[in-house]
Amino acid sequence: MQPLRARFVPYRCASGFENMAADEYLISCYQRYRVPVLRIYGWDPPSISLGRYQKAACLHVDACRSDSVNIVRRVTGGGAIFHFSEVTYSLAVGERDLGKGAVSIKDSFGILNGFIIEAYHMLGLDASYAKDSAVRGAAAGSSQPFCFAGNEEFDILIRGKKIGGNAQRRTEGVIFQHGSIPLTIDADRIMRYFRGTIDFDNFTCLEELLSRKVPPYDVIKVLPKAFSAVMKYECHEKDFSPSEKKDITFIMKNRYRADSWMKDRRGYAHEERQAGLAQ
Amino acid sequence: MDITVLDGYYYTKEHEWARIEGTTATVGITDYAQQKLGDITYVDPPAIGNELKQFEFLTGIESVKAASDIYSPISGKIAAYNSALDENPELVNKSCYTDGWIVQVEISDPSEIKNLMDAAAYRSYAAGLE
Repeated sequence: MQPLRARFVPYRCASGFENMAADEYLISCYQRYRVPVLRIYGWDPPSISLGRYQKAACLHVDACRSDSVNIVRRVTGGGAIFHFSEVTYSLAVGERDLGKGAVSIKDSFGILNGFIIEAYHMLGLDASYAKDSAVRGAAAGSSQPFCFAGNEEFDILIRGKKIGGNAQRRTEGVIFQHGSIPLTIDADRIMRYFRGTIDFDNFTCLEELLSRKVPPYDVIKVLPKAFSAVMKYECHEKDFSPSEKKDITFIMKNRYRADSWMKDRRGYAHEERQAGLAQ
Repeated sequence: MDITVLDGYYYTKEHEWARIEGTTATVGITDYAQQKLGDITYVDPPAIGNELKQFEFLTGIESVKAASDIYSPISGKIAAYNSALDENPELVNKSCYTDGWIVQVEISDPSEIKNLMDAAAYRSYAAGLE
């Protein structure tokens, strides 16, 4: 039997606006070809991403502006993330790729986060789901404005602390998920940009866990391997073509750089039709 | 999966329901949908007066860090939104067929009702998905 094929878009750093546009493009890419797509990327300059329906009131916007930290709004749910020193992945698959019927949100996180857990195992770390953790499993089910500080059943824990975060968009039978794998955590900058109290003892990063500097490449090389091993897809590397880059630029200009997308969410359907970007 | 399906309602393949009274359809998501979505934390209020097309995007809903779409069972204009969901989005989980309704639509084309499933057909459809 031929192994199932997935497209792999290789690592590149880009602005938050371009990254979010490229991620959205993956959804239409899956809808067109029905082939799962995995992408790995970084952020330059550092950015904060807000969840699709999250209010920007959780941020000190002036401090972000004065430090040239872009604020972007994701197409996915969940809380805000400061994307500074991390490797980010995104993934578009069909619901039918995960099971016969509609896969519940929780179950789909359980399936898709499996390859992230495997990637941590490949880095020598004992990662597990919050629901299976003796340390924090009982408390699973709380959400926070700052994503890494929240705690849901299928969040990933190492040594009792949450690592990274993952969020989804569901549309027309497509499951789109992206997530962060933090290399370091800059507590000073997080406190500068986020309002309210954040308990830094609740989450961790690779540098703390491995007691060494972790270059992005260490994570970049294991992610496609972990994806293939867990999801049983053979990854075929194919970067965005010039024509695809044009589409991504269009999405970036018309959605992610648009004030109407950035403002706190209300009347979204109307705005989306106005922008001509309805999926 | 045990689900509740109410007689007298109409249903879509995407797991929305419509209760038709005269020229108005009250719309929400089914028990199957709310169970699959999990704990709902936000329903995006659509603008009153928005024109909807059957089976096209109605509004967004968030649960467990996932932003999902809700589609309209019928074409028409949004006449009302259940503003109780602003403070209590969990009503969609607790009472999806009554207190957790999402919008009321002034139906523009009653002939579209034939494109929807009745309770018996939806029960059979949902059972086939498991």
